Amino acid sequence: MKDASAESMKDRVAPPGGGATTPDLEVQGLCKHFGSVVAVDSIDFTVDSGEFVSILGPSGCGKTTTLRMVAGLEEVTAGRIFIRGRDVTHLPPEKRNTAMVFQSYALFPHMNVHDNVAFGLKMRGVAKAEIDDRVAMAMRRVRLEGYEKRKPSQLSGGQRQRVAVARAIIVEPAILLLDEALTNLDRRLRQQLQLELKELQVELGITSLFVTHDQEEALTMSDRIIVMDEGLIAQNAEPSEVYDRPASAFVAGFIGESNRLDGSVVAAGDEACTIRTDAGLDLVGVHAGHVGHVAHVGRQCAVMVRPRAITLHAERPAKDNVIEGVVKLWAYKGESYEYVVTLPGGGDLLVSLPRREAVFERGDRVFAAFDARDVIVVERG
Amino acid sequence: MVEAATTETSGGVSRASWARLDRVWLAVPAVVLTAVFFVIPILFMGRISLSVHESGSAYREGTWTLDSYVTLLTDSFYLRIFSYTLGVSLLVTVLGLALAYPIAYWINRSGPRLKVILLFAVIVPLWTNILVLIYGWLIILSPGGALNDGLMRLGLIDAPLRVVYNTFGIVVGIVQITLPYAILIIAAVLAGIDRSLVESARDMGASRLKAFLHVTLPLSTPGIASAATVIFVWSMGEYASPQLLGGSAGKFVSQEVSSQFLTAFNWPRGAGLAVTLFSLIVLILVVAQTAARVTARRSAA
Amino acid sequence: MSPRWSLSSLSYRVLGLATVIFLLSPLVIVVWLSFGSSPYMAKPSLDFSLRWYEEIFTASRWTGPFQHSLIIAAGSSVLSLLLATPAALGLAKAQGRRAVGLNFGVMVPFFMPGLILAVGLLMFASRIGLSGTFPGIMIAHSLWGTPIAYLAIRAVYAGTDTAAEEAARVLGAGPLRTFFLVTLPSILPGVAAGALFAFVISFNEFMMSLFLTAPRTVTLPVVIWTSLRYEVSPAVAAIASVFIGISVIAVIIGLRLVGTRGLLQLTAADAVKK
Repeated sequence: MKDASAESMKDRVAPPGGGATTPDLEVQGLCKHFGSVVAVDSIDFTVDSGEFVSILGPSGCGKTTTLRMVAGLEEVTAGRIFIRGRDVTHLPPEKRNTAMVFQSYALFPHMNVHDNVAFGLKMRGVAKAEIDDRVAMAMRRVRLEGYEKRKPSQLSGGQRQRVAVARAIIVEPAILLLDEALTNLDRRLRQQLQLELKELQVELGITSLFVTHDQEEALTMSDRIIVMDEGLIAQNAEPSEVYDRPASAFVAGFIGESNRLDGSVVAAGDEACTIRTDAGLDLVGVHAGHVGHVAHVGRQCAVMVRPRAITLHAERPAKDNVIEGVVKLWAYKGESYEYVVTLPGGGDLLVSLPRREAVFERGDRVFAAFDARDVIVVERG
Repeated sequence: MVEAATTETSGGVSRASWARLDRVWLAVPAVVLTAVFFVIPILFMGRISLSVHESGSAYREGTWTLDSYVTLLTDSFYLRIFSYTLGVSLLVTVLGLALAYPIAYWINRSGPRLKVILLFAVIVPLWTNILVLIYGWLIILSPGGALNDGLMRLGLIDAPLRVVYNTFGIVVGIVQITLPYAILIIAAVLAGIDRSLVESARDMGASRLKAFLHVTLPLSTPGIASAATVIFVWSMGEYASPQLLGGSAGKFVSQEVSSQFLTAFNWPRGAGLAVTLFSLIVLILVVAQTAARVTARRSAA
Repeated sequence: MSPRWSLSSLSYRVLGLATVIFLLSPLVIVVWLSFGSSPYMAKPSLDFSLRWYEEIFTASRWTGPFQHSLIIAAGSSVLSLLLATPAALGLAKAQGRRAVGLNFGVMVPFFMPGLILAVGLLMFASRIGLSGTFPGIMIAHSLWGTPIAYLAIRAVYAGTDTAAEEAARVLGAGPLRTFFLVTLPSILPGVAAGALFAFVISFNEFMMSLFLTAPRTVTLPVVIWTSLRYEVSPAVAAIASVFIGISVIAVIIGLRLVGTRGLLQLTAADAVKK
């Protein structure tokens, strides 16, 4: 088996150098093959103490496999895993001092809530009196006092989720692993529990690694987001950066809605660059540092523009980029209106207006405008 | 092939081994039981079938001969035994399916309470010692037994019917023994058929009978096929029914195997018969399995 | 009258009812006969007597084999569980060629007629000194008991959430503690059903017993067999009724353990899953 840690330096976040504390989790060159299928393809990342990091990606991107390898539930094909500086790569799950919240909650159906929560402490040989104290405290933390004697089957989905969280945090793990932990809840409850969980995490300072396919959830909860695609890390950055300056067309398309126009760079200056789309439109973008490597003349690229960054006008406005088009349809979306504008030379532009500033109807000729700083230039992919 | 790949670890042997899919080796002790007490005895039997018979000591060790198989193939007595066994088994299979289907259908259509009662009526005989069942039929069918007695008292017949110690008796016995299996198999397959398919056929104007013939019946063929296999295989190896309910009309292979071992003490010939019967049964199972796989693939495509 | 009772829907009910009567008539007649006083195997009469029950529970020609049968059935079901439980845990959620092969290895004796197994074992068991012994016949019966217990446990385990076991591991429980604290409690109905099935199969089995038991290990079915062939006493009807009673109780327990659906699917799966 090859050691692939030297490859993929591209996405690697350098571990904190000399003097800094060891990260709670460090993953080096991690690979997982299922026969000929490569699920995780040599990835590196760290999670610092107290940090809440999300791994975000579509199903099949390798995020859950990564989490399961960290937990010890899946063997690694290659690479190493360190928890608080200790090499745990080949340790069984029970010797890694992690805790995990599963998508199905995985409560023990034959035990009551108290015994479920106490399980990890019992396994650690903690005295009964102390277990009772700590269970009581954990139950308070997740606001489930009085439910100790219930069986999991007598609880609602949200309550089960809270029990699962209590069962995990009570052992004070080196790192808390959450596998789609909120996915099975309905939308409102999920939003409420996102906040509760985040609050609890900050309060206790628990280092957390959270796997989700829900970009909104990742943006809300994380200190840092690792976007994965086809077994590779597509981007590893703070939420705002992932949103505003996606590293690739994939990331831009996966996080938030965006319009994509393929083209190539026709001019690249220090301040700005010009991209000519395949349909022949010239667009001006800011020559941002992180996209510098794509912005040289002749290079094929993709331009991404968020629907919210675009405004519609009846007269040609004075903006960096203006495209003339025809309103194809519009839809009321509650807090906003969505327009689909057909562009010359084919293709549609999705535009989200905060309120119905100007009434455009189907068939109206409009000018779609956006600033150069809202133009995201990425590699095609 | 992802599903084939998931259990195969790249290194062959698993290391940090609690990957849940790598626990297949837990089945090894059970497979060892099969290997030691089924496979080895069968091989042993095969070896003995190729030995020379020696009166007084069952067989002579270390000898090789094809005698027992030559006898089986040339002696018309053995051909008759095999054809009788096959013929009765076919008859039993057809009868068994004909009886099993309606009640399986009924079980499937009945409410929870009736379903429990019907299942109870089917499973209790299934779990009752087959000798007890045969004993019951002996009482019913014997010349002075319950059936003849009743019919004569009703004046329907003058002399007792010959309904036991012949092929009829054997058929009754084997049908009784295998019927519960057939019913349960077909009922389980029927339970898996999507009711909405039948309902949509009815909506499109098919009569109840037509909907049954064109939707339910074709969809339940896998159940019919496995029920038929079970009845047939069971019947081919059946011993108690022909021995206790049969008569001079014919002999089952198993009866001859048993008498070669326990009475004639000719182990090579008994083993030869048993090996032949075993091979026939394996052949039937393989054919049934292959047919099932082919149909499954065709209907999936 | 509702249209549900059309001719076709009536016909399968009538045929079904006839089949039920067919299936149950030998049982009914045997129980009836067992309460009579006539010394002959004949048509049941209307007088009531418990003399045959008295005989089977006191005469040593019945009580000895009865004990043997119980010992063998108990031993065989324990052995079956010990082999079937790990096999079911290992294979219930596994896929791939290796799992299919092992599954076949566990199941294959189940589809063999008792005669084939009996004859094979007769020759082999005498070689290794197991012929006529309790362990020998227990092992023989486990050839059927293991697959059936395996099916029962596998069906229950396949329906459980693997994540619960994983959660236990992550929370610090080793493989053994995970098994006893989490896995075993969740598969208990399957284990109990498996034990029951294996027990019933062994208790009823007569073909292998006929070939493999000696006088000191002879089982009740073998005694019935001998009695049916040579001198039929109505005491057999009493014994037979005991068998029927055990079967009824076993079915009731089975229904309790795995429910109608479970029982239906399990018994059917026996035969379908080759």
